[in-house]
Amino acid sequence: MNFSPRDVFLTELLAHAEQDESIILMSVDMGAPALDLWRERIPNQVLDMGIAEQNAINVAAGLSKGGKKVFVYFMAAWVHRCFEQIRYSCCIADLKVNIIGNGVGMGYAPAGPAHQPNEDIAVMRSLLNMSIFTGSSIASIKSLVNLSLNSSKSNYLRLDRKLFETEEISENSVVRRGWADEVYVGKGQPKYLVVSYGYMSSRIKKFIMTDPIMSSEVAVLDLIRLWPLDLKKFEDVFKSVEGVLLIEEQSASGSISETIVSSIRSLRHKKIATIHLPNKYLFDNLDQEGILNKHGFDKESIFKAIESLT
Amino acid sequence: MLRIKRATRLWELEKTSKEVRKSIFEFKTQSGYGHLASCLSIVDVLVSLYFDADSAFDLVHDRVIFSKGHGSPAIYPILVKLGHIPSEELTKYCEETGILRLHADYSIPGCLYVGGSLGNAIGFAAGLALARSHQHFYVVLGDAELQEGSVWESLLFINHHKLKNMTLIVDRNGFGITGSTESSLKLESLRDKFEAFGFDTLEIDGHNFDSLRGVFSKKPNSPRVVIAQTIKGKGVSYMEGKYEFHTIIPKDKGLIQQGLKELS
Repeated sequence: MNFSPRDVFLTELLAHAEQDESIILMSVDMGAPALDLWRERIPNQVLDMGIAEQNAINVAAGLSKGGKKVFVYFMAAWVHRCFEQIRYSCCIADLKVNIIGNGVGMGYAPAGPAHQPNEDIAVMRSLLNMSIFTGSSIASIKSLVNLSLNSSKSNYLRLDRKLFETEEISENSVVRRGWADEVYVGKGQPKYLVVSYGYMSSRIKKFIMTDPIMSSEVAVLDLIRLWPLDLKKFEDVFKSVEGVLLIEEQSASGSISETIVSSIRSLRHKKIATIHLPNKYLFDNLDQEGILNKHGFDKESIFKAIESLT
Repeated sequence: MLRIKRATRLWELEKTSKEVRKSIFEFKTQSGYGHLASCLSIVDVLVSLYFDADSAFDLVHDRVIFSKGHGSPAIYPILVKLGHIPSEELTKYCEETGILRLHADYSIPGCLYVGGSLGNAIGFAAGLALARSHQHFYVVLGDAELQEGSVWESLLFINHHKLKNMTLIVDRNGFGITGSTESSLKLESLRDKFEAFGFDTLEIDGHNFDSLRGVFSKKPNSPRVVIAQTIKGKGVSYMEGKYEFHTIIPKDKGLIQQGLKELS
């Protein structure tokens, strides 16, 4: 699988935008092959906002008030920079703006901690009137387009810079739940569940599905909707398994695992493990895989964490 | 709705202005909430826009958007005169049963945005102006608000897109909460700055209805900034030009009576 999530998303959105001129894409200091297609085919629906995130969000809110369906596309690391404008002009003003945050987690790791949004979920989930979505496959990333177009509130769409190379998973092994995809290739019921999302999820699917023992006992719950959490749905999925491992490419302080673990009653009687990034800014001179392997996300550590559930 | 008769004579505008100022003074001193002096400085600009028969402001389509949200209650008596809100709401300003708040927001008929965070409405208005080219948007900015960097991001955008359906009005009363703008973070020469950003820039006496008419009687052909030289606390002698009244509302009965007398 060799694709860029942003190009999958923007190409899918382009197909809608060509039929609906109220869809506007605002690029804030970002390019993409798919963005070039927008510029070529529907230039009047693309706005180059320069390097000005605060103004971009305010203009997006104004366009939304004026009846447009707006998508603001920038580096996920910069959601912090215009947090006030997102809160004020989108959330408080109750205007729908879709924020495409590209390069979440350690996607741009070599660029240092300024480019490593390891708290973006915590930041964005603190806002009222805001939903957070992500995807780890072509299908789930494409589904974000309809999810965002059909919602009534603002959305933060987290896109990874790339996804982990993985074999195509048979459709028979995927239960599409809308808010998450559950992947399991074993027979009967899985004993354990690994919950993750985005790049990390695509990585874990690869690790587990290519291991004969793990794949026969472990299912992966690949989250699409990260916030707000529908705890009832988690409760239903967790019922039938013996233990749950939650893995996030976020600092522990910013993770959603704690909320899931503390809110779901049935989990109190099950074995639980979590893996997060450390609660510190990372100055490692490593790429994404290097950082993940260094901080406990290597295959061996993940398998050990699963084994600890027995 | 929109049941007003616009004024042709300047003295009629001055009379309306006094009524609006008195009303603001009354509901602010009764409630004790808000930024009275910052409201009083912008009244004549608003009255000129809404009530001058020569004003190009289209009462049906055009909109005033307050970027200096703390000055936005200045528009409440005008919304009453326009029939957007009932007059009794003014007596319930900032009360639990009322709809009028310290900062105007979109829940109030006639208002589009939300007030309270500086430097944002200008970008919001730019988005609206882009989406609705048949409407003209008048954005009221505080002068101290220009110290917010987001304003200058928006100025670049407005000029780049040549949004001629926008008029930016700077309420240049000279003061922020801590004193003069020039002593806190220098703004001058404002005119040069706006012109350098590509705006047609006009500097006028924001309390002179003849000058205001001269500016607002025409719609611009390019992005425009009107620097309205105003007096903070205008109309109440002991408040005029006193930054201390930025957030302080007179509580002393004698001062309230004096203020009401001067505005009557």
